[in-house]
Amino acid sequence: MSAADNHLPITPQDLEAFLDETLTDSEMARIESALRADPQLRRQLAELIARRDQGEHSVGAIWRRFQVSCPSREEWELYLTDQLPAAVADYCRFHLEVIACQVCQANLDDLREHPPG
Amino acid sequence: MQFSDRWLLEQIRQGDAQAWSQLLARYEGRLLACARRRLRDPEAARDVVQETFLALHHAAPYLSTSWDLQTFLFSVLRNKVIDQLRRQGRHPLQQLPEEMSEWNLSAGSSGPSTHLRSQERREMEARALADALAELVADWKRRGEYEKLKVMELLLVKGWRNRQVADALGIEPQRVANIRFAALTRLQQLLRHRQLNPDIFPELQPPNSFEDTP
Repeated sequence: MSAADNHLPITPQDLEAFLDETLTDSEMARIESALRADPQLRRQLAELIARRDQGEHSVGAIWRRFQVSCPSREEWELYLTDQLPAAVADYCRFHLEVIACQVCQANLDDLREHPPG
Repeated sequence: MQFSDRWLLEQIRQGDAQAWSQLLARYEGRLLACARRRLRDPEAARDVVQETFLALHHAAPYLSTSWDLQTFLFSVLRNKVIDQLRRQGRHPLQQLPEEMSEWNLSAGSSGPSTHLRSQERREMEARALADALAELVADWKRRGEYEKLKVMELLLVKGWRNRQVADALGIEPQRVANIRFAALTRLQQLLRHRQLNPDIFPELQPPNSFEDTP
């Protein structure tokens, strides 16, 4: 199970995240390629843009934007040094690899580049 | 000594340059990492991070202390990245066939009956929902109920169907449906406690049965 499985159908939530630039590069590329090939999907995207313009909410977009379930910076420090309880570490991995949270990925990149003294 | 974001923000409002430097040092690395991943251009990444901090500087006197600073900064950064990609002609929407813009306009004129709400009202609703979701998630984490969190994250953030979620997590579809029903019911309660009508969020209406609805 990973974020960019090519066989997965593209959901409205994927299109929202595509518009918000909150996907991984590979997911962005997968959706862009599908949009080029599929007029029906382009229509879905156009309708989505119109609904956003009219003020309609998307729960997934709000969840991502407000980082509702993101592990804390301190938890990512512990994750990198294998100090988290197994269930928490498992969730962190899921959040990173399946949900593909780009904010958490950035935190992790930064912690790897600049380990806390 | 590690000062809280809220304290640093208060100091910045009073013109404390050291607090500003400390805040920059705290967030610059993670913002740069995010911008570099998307832009693939270190110089452009540095530019958008600078613009993001500039936006924070302008907003600081008015920013509510209830704002989570990381959330604020990454929201601004995302918009700056989108602007940068557009300037460079690299934004994904610019790569699509031209009929995209025509459909966008026609969809706008014949879309659903959602009436136009003020930006302020919409933001208040989004924050109330985020607050309710955060309470639910914190509760699951406190109890170690990570399966529920994974199920709801896949349903609401990824938009997967019940069966897909069940297959991915190795559990029964009925269990996914039960978790979904209970979570949506609880979320509706939490929204009502915040004086918000849950009908604003059609995705949060629990299905009438446990059937595998998207």
